[in-house]
Amino acid sequence: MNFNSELMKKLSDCFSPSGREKNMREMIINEIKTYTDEIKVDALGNVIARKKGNGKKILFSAHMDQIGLIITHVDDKGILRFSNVGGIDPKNLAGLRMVFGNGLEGVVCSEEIKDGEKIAMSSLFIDVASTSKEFVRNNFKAGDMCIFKTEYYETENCVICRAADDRTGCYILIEALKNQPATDNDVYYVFSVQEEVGPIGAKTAGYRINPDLAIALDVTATGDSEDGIKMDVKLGEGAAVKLMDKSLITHPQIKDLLTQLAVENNIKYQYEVLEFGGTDAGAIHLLREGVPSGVISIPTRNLHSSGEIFSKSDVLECIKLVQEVAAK
Amino acid sequence: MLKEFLFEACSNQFVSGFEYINGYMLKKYFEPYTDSSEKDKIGSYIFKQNGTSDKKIMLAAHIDEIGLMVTKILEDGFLSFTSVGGINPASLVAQDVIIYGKEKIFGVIGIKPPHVIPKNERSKALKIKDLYIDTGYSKEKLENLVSIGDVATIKRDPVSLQGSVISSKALDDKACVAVMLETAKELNKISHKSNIFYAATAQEETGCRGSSAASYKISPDIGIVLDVGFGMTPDMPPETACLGNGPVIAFGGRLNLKLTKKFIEVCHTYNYSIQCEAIPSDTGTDAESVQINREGVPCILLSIPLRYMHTSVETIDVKDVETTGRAIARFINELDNSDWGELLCF
Repeated sequence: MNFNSELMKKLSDCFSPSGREKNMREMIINEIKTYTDEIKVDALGNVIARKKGNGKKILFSAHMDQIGLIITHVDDKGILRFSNVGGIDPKNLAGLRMVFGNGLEGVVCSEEIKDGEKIAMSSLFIDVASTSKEFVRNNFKAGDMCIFKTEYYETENCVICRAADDRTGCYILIEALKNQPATDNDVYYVFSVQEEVGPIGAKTAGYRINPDLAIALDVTATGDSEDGIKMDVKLGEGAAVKLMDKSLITHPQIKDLLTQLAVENNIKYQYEVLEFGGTDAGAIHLLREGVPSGVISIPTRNLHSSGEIFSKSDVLECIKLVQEVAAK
Repeated sequence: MLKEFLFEACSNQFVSGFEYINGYMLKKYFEPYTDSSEKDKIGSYIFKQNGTSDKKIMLAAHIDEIGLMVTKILEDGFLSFTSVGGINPASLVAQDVIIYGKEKIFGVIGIKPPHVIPKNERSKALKIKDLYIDTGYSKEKLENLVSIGDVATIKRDPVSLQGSVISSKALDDKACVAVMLETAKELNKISHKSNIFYAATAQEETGCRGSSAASYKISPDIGIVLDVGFGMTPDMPPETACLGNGPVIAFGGRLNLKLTKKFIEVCHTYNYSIQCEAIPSDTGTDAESVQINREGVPCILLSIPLRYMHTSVETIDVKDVETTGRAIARFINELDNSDWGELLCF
């Protein structure tokens, strides 16, 4: 399988901050509808696609939402104040171009910051480039969300884009679903909402499905850059099998299953212990009487920034591993 | 028997998420007093004593303990690690550890000699990422024995101090699993109508996870949650509970007041000493996840006073364990003879 740059770019370019996943939902349904037996959209907006079978119930989950900013106040001068939707470090924001759901744009500016002072979200604002108060009033309101304006860019083996978290996961599930090997298993592909502010969507989707096992697809950090994160995951070293993060300790059977499938099928993999963050699996594994759960992670540098970097070959390895789990 | 159980359970590893490795030990101790047992999907062990009514009482004490997890094998054969559950890095310095890799591997955690620490760094708090495990092995040899994600604990044999006071790693919350064992033993002697579930819950230290699934599965009418609480030392606030003065019962918004008062009443009736504490909102124990489950479960929270929490020298008085276990058995006995409709309504 080759890396489908066109699909990845389409996913990354889509506007879909937490709670505003409509565009992604439509795009994904369009992409997969001819390949599934059933697609449901639940009360919170999760897309639940099913390939029916009589065997084990397997749930895969990738989240459709992305981090962004939400307008809290539009002042008389036409300046927009905001808060974060999902985890964003204010020091990464100043100077960035942002784009709103209606296509309009702005730039994040900063109040004067004295030497040694920390940049707080409250000292930042968005300038939407207009001298007309009326234009600002008519087009921007408290509650509007915006996301990073980042152009998709590819090198021979890597991609820089926004929302690799978790469009890579969505990409993997779309490709795996389209090419699912024949199996008796009852396989659910969940494209969840509001992971970045929760996880929220995975809770209700997982409750509805009540699976025998669950695997989330999400990004993880790496230890191969100069950002000070000490861990053993590297770009280009294959699918990362998560063993622990702040939301989950991987079920021993799931660890063994993923390891065994990777070894048997020559899928490049690496183990991951992440000292921060969580995924949909954190929510799903505690549903009802508990669900044995794990995560296949996409190693990603510069997480939760306007330019996240991942390796194309890692994504392809993740797809293979998902396909093997689906058919196991 | 309580001390024997505590010494055996505390000498072995039950790091959160890895409870299943030594879970057989629980079976050995609980099975003589209970009718059935199972391991649930998160890794909790649930033992049941059948009753004659349809009422269900759940006791919960977590079997997991804090530990370390290997995050990276370094070029020169040292191991980087992170904590599983909350650990003060200062408590790790100059400790022996056991890594549970392909085999048990012995290691130590050291720090730089004082001579080479610049003055301005001496008062700085250590972080876990500044520490390493040293096994003496080369990287090549170590890679065959240890892999990312393997867990480790501090190596520490339990010791008896004066009287019935003991000290060990992992008494949080083995002390309370021992309480359940004492209750099971007592209720095996005196009759009970309710069905009693003893849940040795998994993964409390990483977020009260096992008790959530266990409570859902059991769907109890009443929850009795057991954990350790802070014990008095010279540097603790004056209201801190003392070792040897019996269980500490919590008053707070998350806990059922009628049941709490009932428990105190039972202790007074039977001359069991008891101490009280106030926890206005979240208790940081399994009480939250047992309580907020399905349609809600009325809970009480009992703590065993323990000194030096989350270190390898946690210290308790075994007498408190015995008192608490017996008081719970009496409490259940009294509940069986009470009107639950009256007791559980607001």
